[in-house]
Amino acid sequence: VSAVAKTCGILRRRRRGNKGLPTKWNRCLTTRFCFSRLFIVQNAEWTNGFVAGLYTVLATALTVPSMNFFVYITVETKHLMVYSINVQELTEKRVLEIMTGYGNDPQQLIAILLDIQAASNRNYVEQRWAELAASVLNISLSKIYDILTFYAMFSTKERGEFVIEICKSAPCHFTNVEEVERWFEEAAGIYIGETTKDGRLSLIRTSCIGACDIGPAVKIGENVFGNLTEDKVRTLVRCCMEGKTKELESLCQN
Amino acid sequence: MLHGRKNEGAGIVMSELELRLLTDSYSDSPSIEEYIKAGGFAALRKAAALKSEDVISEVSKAKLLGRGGAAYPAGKKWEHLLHIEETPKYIVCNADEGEPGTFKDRLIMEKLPFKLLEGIIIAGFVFRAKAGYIYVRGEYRKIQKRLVEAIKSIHKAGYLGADIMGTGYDFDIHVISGAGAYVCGENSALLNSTEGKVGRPRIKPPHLAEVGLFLKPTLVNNVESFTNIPLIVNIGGDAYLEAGHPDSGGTKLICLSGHCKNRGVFEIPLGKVSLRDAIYNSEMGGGIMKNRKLKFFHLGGQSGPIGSPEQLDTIYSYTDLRKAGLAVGSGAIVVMDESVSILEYLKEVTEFFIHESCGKCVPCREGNRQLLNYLQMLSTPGAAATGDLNALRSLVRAMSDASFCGLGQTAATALNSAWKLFKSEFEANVRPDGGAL
Repeated sequence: VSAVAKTCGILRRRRRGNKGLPTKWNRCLTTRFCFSRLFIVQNAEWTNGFVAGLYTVLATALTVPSMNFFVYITVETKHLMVYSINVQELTEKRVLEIMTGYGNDPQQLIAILLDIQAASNRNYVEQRWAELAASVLNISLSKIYDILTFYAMFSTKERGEFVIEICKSAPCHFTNVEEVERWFEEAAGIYIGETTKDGRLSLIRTSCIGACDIGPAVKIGENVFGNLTEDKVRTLVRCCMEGKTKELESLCQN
Repeated sequence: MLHGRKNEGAGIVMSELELRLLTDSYSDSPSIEEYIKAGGFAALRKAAALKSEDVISEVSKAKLLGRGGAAYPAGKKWEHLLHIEETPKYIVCNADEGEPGTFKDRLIMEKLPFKLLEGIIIAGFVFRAKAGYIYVRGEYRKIQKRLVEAIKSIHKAGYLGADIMGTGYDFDIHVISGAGAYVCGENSALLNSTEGKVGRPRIKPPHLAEVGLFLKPTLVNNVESFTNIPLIVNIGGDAYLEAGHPDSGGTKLICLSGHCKNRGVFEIPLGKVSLRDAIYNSEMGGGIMKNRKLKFFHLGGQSGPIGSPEQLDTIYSYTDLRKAGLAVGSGAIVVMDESVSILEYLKEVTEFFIHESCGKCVPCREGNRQLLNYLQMLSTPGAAATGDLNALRSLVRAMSDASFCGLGQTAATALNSAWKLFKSEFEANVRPDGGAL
């Protein structure tokens, strides 16, 4: 239990959470972990009151859909606190704000949807936001889905917080991109087209990103990275997994 | 060499073959003060004082051919629009640079944004247009933000907004984002997308000069074309023409990528540099990586023709390349070494078109899938018979004749040109008709 003391982690509830359960508390609390149900194994040193408190706090936190939060446990003082962090679930208010920012102009639909997708934290446009946009902008839902399914940058399915887009166009493809794809798959532990279980990272292929002078190249969000080596690939994946956006910024080449 | 990126090998000097007209002064962090100090907006002041016809006659004299890939004479396009009486008119800049192997517009927008914007404002003045739009591809999100900043600073300097330079003319430029669709580089699809619709191309005629953005007369030009306008106004059409080829004036930004040693953007005068110089000159392409041999080069983007080492001495100009069965296109030069199989390369190209076809017309949507099938058969021993080769040829013809827009019409250009150059590779796995599998 002492190993658990003063550790912090981010627990995240997902609607389709994975089935794996932590075998040890410290693992559960020190890593970002997704779960749908949590079993708490009572430790001899933990008082009943402490465990009950833990249950209450977690039960409350888990009722908020897709909320991200830290749990701090201080064993000595038996204090347990939950902090929600700034990675927020996209709210109706925010979506309406985005649309007002563009003057609720249907001509700005592509820009609006791009912004909604960027604010979603999971790189996709949820159906309820598409429906909201349809009613506010007074256009049909099918027209919105026409746009969402036509343009390659949109997704209607949940993706990772970070989407690594690997350029597969000819100039990059013939500069060793097959090996680069393998490096990414190995470092992230998933195949191209998949998302990691913790929802951190997706690997996809993309058409030319205009970085043929530094191919093989990838795009993560707005940042482009080129002349990839195995080390660089590992660093990029690590930065994404650990959410180090600043380090990514410093490495980017555009 | 012009560096498109930071962290690139420094110390590469400009080749004597290059001619920096467009990119004479460029900076990693362009500022309007520097731009004005270096003579920026002089062309705008000059053009604002001239009659529209005079500006257009300079552009016509310059023989500026559209730099986006279609090589349509800009002067002709401008004259056409000027003679249309309907108002309002719109100016649209095509910055949807989705062509693989092309990154010159990115460089212009990153390092010469004010020159580009000045070109658009001049066009605004010439047509007394209501507004200007720059349609920037979604992948260049950072550049979009920079352009918005640049536009703001031009507003402050008084060259955009209400009553520009006391002429009583109001003009503004808006940045519009794409969202990842190659077909939006086609001008009519681009206008649909700018209006917030799906970017599928429109049927032509009517020409976009008559029925364009919001169904109003519209001028659509590429980034590089607009960037050339201030230069033409400054030095005059004749001087511009002299710098290039008698049929097409000025310089062209070329993008070297693939297996050449120095990959990047170079500015060369049209009609004065050969392909060999571009690829092998030590200050330009620098030859092939790992000292391998050149197998082929792909010009002008994925929809352009493929050339062989025998064609290396062709001069880089619209006329000379066309005579040799090649094309300038967007300015892309993708260099491939001997390790690349032509069939594998064409498969990549075809997969690109399958992904990017908008699905509106059958010849393009289904044709590209069938092309890939044939290419797969051709690369499997004994899978294809001689009859399949003939079927492939008629498929290629059907696609180029019957497709709705340029994407489908040119999707098989690379295959068609490669066919002539690498016949033996195409036929290596083919069994005679009636032969056993």
